[in-house]
Amino acid sequence: MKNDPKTGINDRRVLIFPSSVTFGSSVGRVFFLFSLTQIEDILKETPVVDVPFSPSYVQGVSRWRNQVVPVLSLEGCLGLASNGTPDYSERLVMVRSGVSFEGRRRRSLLRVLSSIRILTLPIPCAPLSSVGWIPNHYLVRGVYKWEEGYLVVVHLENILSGR
Amino acid sequence: MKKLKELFNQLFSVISESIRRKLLFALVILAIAPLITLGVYSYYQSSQALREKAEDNLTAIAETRINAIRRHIQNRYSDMSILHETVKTLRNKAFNQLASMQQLKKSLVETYFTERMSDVNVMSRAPIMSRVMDGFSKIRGPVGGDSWKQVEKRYGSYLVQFAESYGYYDAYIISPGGTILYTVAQESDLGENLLDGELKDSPAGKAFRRGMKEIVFQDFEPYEPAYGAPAAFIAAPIRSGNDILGVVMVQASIDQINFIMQERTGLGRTGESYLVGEDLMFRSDSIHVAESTIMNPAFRVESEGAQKALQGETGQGIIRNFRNEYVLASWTPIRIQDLTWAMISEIDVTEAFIPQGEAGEEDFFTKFKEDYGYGNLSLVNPDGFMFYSVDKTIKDYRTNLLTGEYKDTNLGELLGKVISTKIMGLTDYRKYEPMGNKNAAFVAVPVLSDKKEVEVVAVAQLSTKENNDVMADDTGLGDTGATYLVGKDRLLRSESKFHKNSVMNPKLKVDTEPVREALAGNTGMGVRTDYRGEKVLTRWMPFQLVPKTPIHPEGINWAMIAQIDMSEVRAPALAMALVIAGGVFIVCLLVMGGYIVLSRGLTVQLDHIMDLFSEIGMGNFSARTPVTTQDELGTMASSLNAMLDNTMALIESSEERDAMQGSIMQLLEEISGLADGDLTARAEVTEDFTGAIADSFNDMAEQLGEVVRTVKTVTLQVSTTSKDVRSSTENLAETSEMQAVQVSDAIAAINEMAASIQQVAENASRSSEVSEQSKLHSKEGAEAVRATNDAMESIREHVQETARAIKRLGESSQEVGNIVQLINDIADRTSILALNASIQAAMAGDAGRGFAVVAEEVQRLAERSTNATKQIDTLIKNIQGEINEAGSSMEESIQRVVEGSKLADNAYDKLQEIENVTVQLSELIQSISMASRQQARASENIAKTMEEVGDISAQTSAASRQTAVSMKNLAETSDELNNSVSVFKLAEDVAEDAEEPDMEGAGAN
Repeated sequence: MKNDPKTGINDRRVLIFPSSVTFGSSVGRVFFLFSLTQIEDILKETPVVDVPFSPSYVQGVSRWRNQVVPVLSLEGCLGLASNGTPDYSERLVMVRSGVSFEGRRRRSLLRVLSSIRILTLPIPCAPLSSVGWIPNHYLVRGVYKWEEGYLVVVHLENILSGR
Repeated sequence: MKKLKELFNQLFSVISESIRRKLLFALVILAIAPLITLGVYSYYQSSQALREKAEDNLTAIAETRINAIRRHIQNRYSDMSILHETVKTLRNKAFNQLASMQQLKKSLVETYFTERMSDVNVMSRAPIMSRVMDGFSKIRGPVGGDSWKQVEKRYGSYLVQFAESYGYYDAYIISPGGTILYTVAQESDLGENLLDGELKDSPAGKAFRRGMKEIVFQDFEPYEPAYGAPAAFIAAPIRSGNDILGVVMVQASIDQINFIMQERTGLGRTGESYLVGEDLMFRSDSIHVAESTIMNPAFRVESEGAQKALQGETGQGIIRNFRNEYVLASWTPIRIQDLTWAMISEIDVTEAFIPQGEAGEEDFFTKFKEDYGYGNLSLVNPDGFMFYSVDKTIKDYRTNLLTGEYKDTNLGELLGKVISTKIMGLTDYRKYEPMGNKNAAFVAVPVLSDKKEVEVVAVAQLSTKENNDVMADDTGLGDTGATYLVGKDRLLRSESKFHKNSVMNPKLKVDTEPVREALAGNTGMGVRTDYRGEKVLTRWMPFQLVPKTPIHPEGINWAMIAQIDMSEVRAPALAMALVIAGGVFIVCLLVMGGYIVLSRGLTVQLDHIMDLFSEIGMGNFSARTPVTTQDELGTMASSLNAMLDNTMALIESSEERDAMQGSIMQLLEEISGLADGDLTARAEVTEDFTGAIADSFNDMAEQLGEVVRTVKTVTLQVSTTSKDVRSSTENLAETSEMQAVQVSDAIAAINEMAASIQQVAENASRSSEVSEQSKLHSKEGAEAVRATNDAMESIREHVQETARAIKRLGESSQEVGNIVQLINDIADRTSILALNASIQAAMAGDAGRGFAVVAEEVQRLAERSTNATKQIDTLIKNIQGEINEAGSSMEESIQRVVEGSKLADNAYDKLQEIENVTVQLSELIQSISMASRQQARASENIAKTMEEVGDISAQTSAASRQTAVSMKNLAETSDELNNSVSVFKLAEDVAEDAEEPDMEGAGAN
């Protein structure tokens, strides 16, 4: 990875935020990692309206730039059990797919805890071969062990398309 | 004047010669003169009062009449307002009716055409039509030939059914070349060419040419194959893809439209709705024309409503219709594609404004006229045409009052002004020619449209009856009183009491001064000559029937006259004068009678007395007067007679004089002894005149002797008593001296007592001073405790203030905490903003690199803010903890201060008690001191009193001595008195003198 000679900025940056679950008895938490190109917006204090009879990973719907968009829980999507009732902050992260559907991208809001960070790659980590502890592992591209816990890279297209 | 004086003197001298004449004159003057004066005065006053009353009466009556007529006119104006509103309501009702009816019909007509065109359109698009066109276009031979018949047999029924189902008169299949390939009616137009044949200019030709492009409606025009009857067509192209295979056309029947328009429910007797085309010819029949008006060139509709509707306007108004009748009309355009028809709904104004009741019932205006007592009611169009009148026999009905033969009547003039000014107006009475020159006045009110145009004028004819009823009431006017109204033309406006048919009678012109004054606007009262030539008391007032308006720039002014004959006014006064005159006459008679009776009694006795004096004057003292009356004159006559008798008795002889003198000498001798002091001398009481004197003298001597006796006895007693008193007073003097000595001793003792009391008072005063000081000290002590208490109170307040300050500090720190929270929030948001900025910068690629740097800086700034707020938060928490501790210790301090304050309060209460006791003690000592001082003063007073007593004793002693001396003098004086009365000799003195010689003789013997 090269730094830009003029600005010194590394162009491989990622966004991580912690999950509400911990894995096993290890110290360290699960973090979700997204490329910056997959993130469109970070929102605070945006109301979310419940949708009756919706699955548990659907937290509801909210309004973003005059569009109604679904609000998902990644833990719910992946089938991860949270420790107690997650104390979600008021953060919502707008993610988007890269694949165009009829000329438009798929979008969804993810309800996240606070402590969103931007890190610059490379991050010292090692890939995990086994992802069996994640029930819906088909929605996961990869899991990496790093110093603070586990980094999970989700399959955003599958999640947003509902496959 | 001189002659009068001479005459008066002569008369007076005649009167003064006789008492009888004087009496008569006095009676007349006293009785008659006041009566006459009173009578004249009463007559004058009553005349004045009667006149004033009559004037007031006339004024009140005149004003009452004026008010009554004003009310009458006001009522008429109110009636006209009601009429106006009624007419307006009827107009609005009629317009609403027309509008709603029209709307319904318009909807039906438009729907009809829409549906018909839709039918044709659907028909033209039906797949079968392509086959029909194809079939007919491929026929071999002419139209109507065998080949044609085969196709007709195959497809004809379909078209027939179509035409019959929708009520079309005929249906056509036309080739693109214009040939009519098929018609349902199979009339003369079958097979004709609409492009270059005879029918090319017919409505069918026009419809075909337009129908090749799109569905069209061709307006009604005469159609020769229909024997010149008007026909309209709907044509639509038959397409197959982009190709036009032909045209399907139908001939629309006017019957359905006519049927819709002929529906007259809600339009009354004269109301109707009809359609007018752009050629101003009817598209439906009119009920007012026996023949058909549809496309009838004899009936063109050029009315204002039709023209406006054809221009696309919708409206309402009163217009002249095609029959040149005034109607209430409502017009609206009907659009059928690019064609415009006008729909007119109208109703005659007569029917619109004159709603009829049930059969046999009167209409509204007839009832109104009869209920409110009008002569007539009528309605006039704005051009002056009277289209309605309740009384249709009057010649102005259905004439034009602005341009016709009656334009110069008062109604004609009024109408012109009302229509031009658009306000209500009223005319004065004038001969009205249409009514056979009867007197009539009118009131007219215009009914205006929403655009303030005159639509109709309601006119009411006023009757003179009510005016006459008001003016004819002669209550309070007596027999000759009357009220009447006079117009500017000097003709009466109300019936005269004195003449029949006097209203507007040119033979009875009333051109008197009161009328002229009243018409000039002046009010007045006075005695004038009326139009009959009679002298009357009259009240004149101006009466403005109509104020100044644009219709009557000077208003309509009448004169109100109220009058009464002067003879009737004066009649009561004259009657009273007659009564007074009669009274005077009766009094005169009474006076004469009284005079006769009196004078007789007076003069007879006087004459007798005068005769007596004449006799006495001649020396005849034996004459006497007869007493003929019992009054003073009779008494005088009696007295005169007695006097004469007495005078005669007084004359006596000289012998009787000598005898009298001897008696007198004897009496003198007998009483001379009294002069020498011999009170025992007595006079002989004889029978002559001196006997009374002697008797009186004896009495006097007796009484004088008694007096002397009494004096002697008293003087003896006085002498004895004065001696006794002298010895007593001398004893008293001695005793008083002894008493004075004793009083001096008592005074000395009292002085000593006063001195000791004074000492006690001084001691008490000193004790009082001491108690005052102790009271002062206790007060000072209480003050000191109070001050201490106040100080403690002050300390408590300060401590509380400090506690409050600490509390405020805690609140401030809380606020700081809130602000820190806010900063924290801002930092959080800033952090999110920085993240979003980085995301956007990443999406921007190379262009966003610089922005990404800024985002990173902002992110760092947000982190630093967050860390700072965390530190501040920790500090705030520490401060709040310490504040809480300080608050607790302040509470303890306050508690201690409160306890100390309580103790100070107790001490203060105790000191207060001491002070109260001290005060009481001081007051007691004070009272003792005061009592002692009072005692000292009292003892001083006693000493003074004792001194005075001593003085009095001394004075008493001196007085007693003085009294003794006086008694001595009194005894000496009484001795002198005794000596002075001893010269009088009394009976006992004579007896004693007689006994002494016997004693001396006995002694000598």
